[in-house]
Formats: sequence, structure tokens, C-alpha cells
Amino acid sequence: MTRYIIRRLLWGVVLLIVVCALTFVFFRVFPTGDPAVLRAGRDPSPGLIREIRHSLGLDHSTLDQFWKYIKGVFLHFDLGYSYYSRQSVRSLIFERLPATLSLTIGAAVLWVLAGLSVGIISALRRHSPIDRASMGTALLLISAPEFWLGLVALLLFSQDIGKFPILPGSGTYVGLTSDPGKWFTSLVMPWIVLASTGVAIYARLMRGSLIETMSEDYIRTARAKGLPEHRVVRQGVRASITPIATLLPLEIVRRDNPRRFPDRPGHRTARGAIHHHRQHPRGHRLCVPRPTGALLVSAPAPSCVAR
Amino acid sequence: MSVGAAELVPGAPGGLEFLESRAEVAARSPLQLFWRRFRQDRVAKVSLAVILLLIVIALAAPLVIKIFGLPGPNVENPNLTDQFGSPLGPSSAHPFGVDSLGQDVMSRTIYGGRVALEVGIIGTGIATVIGVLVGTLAGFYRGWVDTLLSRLIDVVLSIPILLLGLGIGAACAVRGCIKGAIQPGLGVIIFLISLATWPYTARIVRGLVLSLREREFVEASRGLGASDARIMLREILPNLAAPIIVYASLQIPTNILLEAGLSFLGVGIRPPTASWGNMIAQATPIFNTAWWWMVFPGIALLITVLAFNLLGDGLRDALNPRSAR
Repeated sequence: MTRYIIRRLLWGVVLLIVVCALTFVFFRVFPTGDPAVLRAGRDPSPGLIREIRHSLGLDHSTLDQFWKYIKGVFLHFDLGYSYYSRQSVRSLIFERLPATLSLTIGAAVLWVLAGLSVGIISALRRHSPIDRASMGTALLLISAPEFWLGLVALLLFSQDIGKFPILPGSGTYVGLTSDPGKWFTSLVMPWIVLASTGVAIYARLMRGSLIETMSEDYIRTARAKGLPEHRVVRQGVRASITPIATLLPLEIVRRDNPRRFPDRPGHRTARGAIHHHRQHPRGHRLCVPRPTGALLVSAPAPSCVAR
Repeated sequence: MSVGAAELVPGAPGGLEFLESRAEVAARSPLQLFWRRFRQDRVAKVSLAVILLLIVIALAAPLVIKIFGLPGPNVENPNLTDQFGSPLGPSSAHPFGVDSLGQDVMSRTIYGGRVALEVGIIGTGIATVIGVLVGTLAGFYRGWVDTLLSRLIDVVLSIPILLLGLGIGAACAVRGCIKGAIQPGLGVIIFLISLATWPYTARIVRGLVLSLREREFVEASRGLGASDARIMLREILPNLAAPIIVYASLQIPTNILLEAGLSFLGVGIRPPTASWGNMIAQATPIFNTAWWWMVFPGIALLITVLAFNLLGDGLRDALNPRSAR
């Protein structure tokens, strides 16, 4: 088992480098716009461009640049430099990390708890009105994109513009350390919206898995020897949660992407993923700024966990 | 087993009918069996009808907007915004309101459906063909072919699709790239979706082929001197049909959502071409005043994706009698 885990982790590192190389190629070789030209301002002289290119190290060969980059990542944990916001990528990431983590962890807790309980109830009351209603809602939630669901939730429930103003709207986020109460209430709506698809997926998985388990022979045996029903169910649930639990790390990474953040300036935070971020007056800046950031988290995780 | 019991008891009520119905069942092809089960699924039938309707509307979009008396999707009309430049809401002439350029939202929603269906169906089709090809080769030949293809699948799966989309989208969105092989707009997005989703199909197919190739009918075919190609095409492929159909039908709605997401981020379909994703993106800055601009494309998206999901569930149940439902 240890050997297996080590092998998977090493494979994760290899994958990470391959994926880094691919993104590097995409963003350097494809004509997305020369950072030096973008930086030089209007009507730059060729000399100025050359100078900027030299100061950014862009006059070296692509291979050389990549080698420098990888070396920086592994030796100094230097994730590179954002040409757009003119900051180091590491500080861009860590600046936003608390907000991203608050959002992701809260949503993950919600979707696991709600998803599993809905799934269990549905499976035990198969074909009942509760089951039908919750599975119908689940399918509806799976079919709606979060970036739209977030806007609709704000239109319906936010305190500033909602029809039924019951929850704080966008732009109310404060850090956990500055005001825990406000932090919590401001995140309730984002958590619910972000977790909605997850809850739906988990409820469906849990229901299917539990229905299958409950028709196994050992469950019949447990019933036959007179175990009380709640203990039979507990056995069944325990057996059917395992395959679902392995999915969780994958799902967390998948959910944690900027497009899904249901804040008012949704597309602005989302576009941030390419253009890093734009400061805007009402929302909070909350995205992993440079592809590398997300890659670091997401690339090894599937390969290590999925199998 | 109950059929056998009825046969054994002479004069048992319904004995003869049992025999008759069994003879009838034996004559049914798998396709007929599937159709019988599918026909009994009311939800699946309704969703199939909705999808057919959506396809008809998409194909006949120019006719449909003429019937409703709407302007074309790219007709801008500055008279439809108020003095502050805010678009006007739903009215009898414009049931879904207009956007900030004075373009009719309903007519853009209808044309957006064209894009969504094209991307969903063509993208899934291409991905399925590649996935089946790679998966079959990997599963059938095993050994180094399998190792190579499986590693390729791993690498592609570990690339975050959204970031890849942003990269390729940004690179190809204006002039196209790879010497015009990928055209901006629809071409980019179909390329991206097929690139990102074929490994899932390939993985499933590989697993199925690995177990199918050990079965007796494959051995029999090989014993009769069939070539590899013939075994793959005539023996294995038909057995893959049901799972592939189910998987593809559930992949279409995912891809439609992916298209909307990429267009929402500005790297998919770009204005002035209407797509549900880019309409919602354009509407976002003023969504609290011009709610209709984002609500209606969103509802269209929701209905389409829901219908495909329900159809996929129905197909799965009809093709796999043992599915847990």
C-alpha cells in the first residue's frame, strides 16, 4: 500500500510537470498577445519593447524560460510572475486563499451532509412522494449552471435587490478573523448555490448505492436474525458510503473553480481566471489568478485519488 | 420460473396465455424489447418530445421568429432603450424583452438554441467516435498499446478543461489557429469539447472491451478465422452499442453546459453571435435591472439540459433492465 501511494504521488509530480509544460506552451507559443507589447503602452518604439522583453526574460528561448520556471517552482516555491497584475503569482494566490477556502470548505460540508442524508432518505422511501420530489429537484439542480443559479438566487433572496430579502447579498463578505458572524451570514448564499449541484449529485449516488446494498444477501440475513431496522440501515449505509467517499477530493477540486462563484460580478471574478483579476467596487476578488495555481492543486489530485 | 410452474399444472388459469406470450417474447429483437420498455416511461417520452421540439425550433429558427413577428437576432434597435440606455422589459412585441443594444432577447434565445444543440450533438459525436476507437484498440490489444493509450488518457484527463479552454479559446478566438484548422467560435468550442471529453468514453469502452474479448463468442469467431478488424467491428462493437448510447446521451447535456460556461467566460461563442452562455454573461453587469436578459436564456438552457438528462436516464433504464431504479 505504501509503495502504491508513493508510486501514485511520483506519477502525480510527473503529471504536474507535463501539465505545466502544456500550459506553458499554450500561453507562450500561441499568439495570445505579447506581454512585452501589452506592457509598453501606446505606440511603443521597437527599442522599448526589446528592453521590456529583456527585463522580463522573454528574449531567452522557450525551453530556457521553461527550465527557469520549473526550477523556480521547485527550489523557491516561486510560481512565476503575472504580467497582467505585475505581482508574483504566489502572493496573488495567497491573498485570495482565505476566501477561496472559506467558500470551498463550507460548501463541501454542506453538500456532503445534505447530499448523503437526502440520498439515504430517498433510498429508504423508494418511490414515495419524498423520493420523487427530491430526485426531481436533484435533476433540476444538476441541469442548471451555477453561474446562472447564483444570479437567480441573488435576484430572489439577497437583501439589497431580492424579491424575498432574507440573506445578505453580494459584496458583504468579510474575513473570518475580522467578524466571524458576518463572515458566516455573508457566505450562506454562496455556500448553498455552490453546493446545490454537489448535493444533487451526491444524493443521486447515495440513493443508487444504498438501494443496491439493501438488496444484498447479508442485509436479508441481518433482518432475518432480528436486528432492529435502524441497525440494518446503519450497516447498509456504512457499506455504501465508501465508494462515494473516494469521489470527494475530486469533487472539491472540480467545484473550486472561479466560474462557479455566485457573487454579483460573477463574470468579472470568472474572467479573472484569464485576466487575473479586476478590482471592482462591490465584489470580492476571489479566484486563482494564474493557471498554474489551479494546476498545482488540481493536476495531481485526480491522478492520485481517482484510482 | 413461474412460467414453468404454470406449464406443469394442467388447466392452470392462464397457462396457455403464458405459453403464447413466451413464444411472442422469444420472437422480439433487443431493439423491440428496448422500445417496449422505453414506451412505458412517460418521463422519457415527454423529454424526447421536448428535445424533438427544440431541434425543430432550432432548425426552423428563421421561420419561427417570423411566425412570432420578432426581429432577427442581430437587429439592433436603439429606440428600444430608455434615455439612460437601459433596455426595455418584456412587452407584447418583445415577449422576452430586449438587450442593451436593442436586440430582441427571444429571437436571440432561439438562435442560441441552435448553437447549444450543434455543440452538444456534434461535440459529443466526435468525442464518442474518438473514445470508442481509442478504448477499443487499448482494450483489444492490451500490452504496450494499452499502456500507451491509457497514459495518454490520464494526461488528457488531468488537464483542467476550463484552463485549457481559456488558453485555446484566447489563442484561437480571433483568427483561428493551427493554420486555420480550428475556426473561431463554433469550431473552437467543438474542438475543445471533443478534446476534453473523449477520454471518459475511452476509459469506459476500454473496460468493457477488456471483458468482452475474453468471452466465448469472440473465441468462436477467432476460431473460425476472423481477422482482428472483423472481431472488433462485428463482434465487439455491437455489444458496446447500449452503454455507448447511454453514455453519449448523458454527455450531451454536460457538453451543452460546458459550452454555456465557456461562452460565459468569453472564450466560446462571442457576440454578436447569440449563445445562451454569452447572453447571460452580457446581462450579468445589469442583471438586477434587466433581469429578463439573463433569466430567459437561463431557463432555455435549464429546459434543454434537463430534457437531455431525463432522456438519458430513460434510455439507461430501457437498455439495462437490471439498473437500480
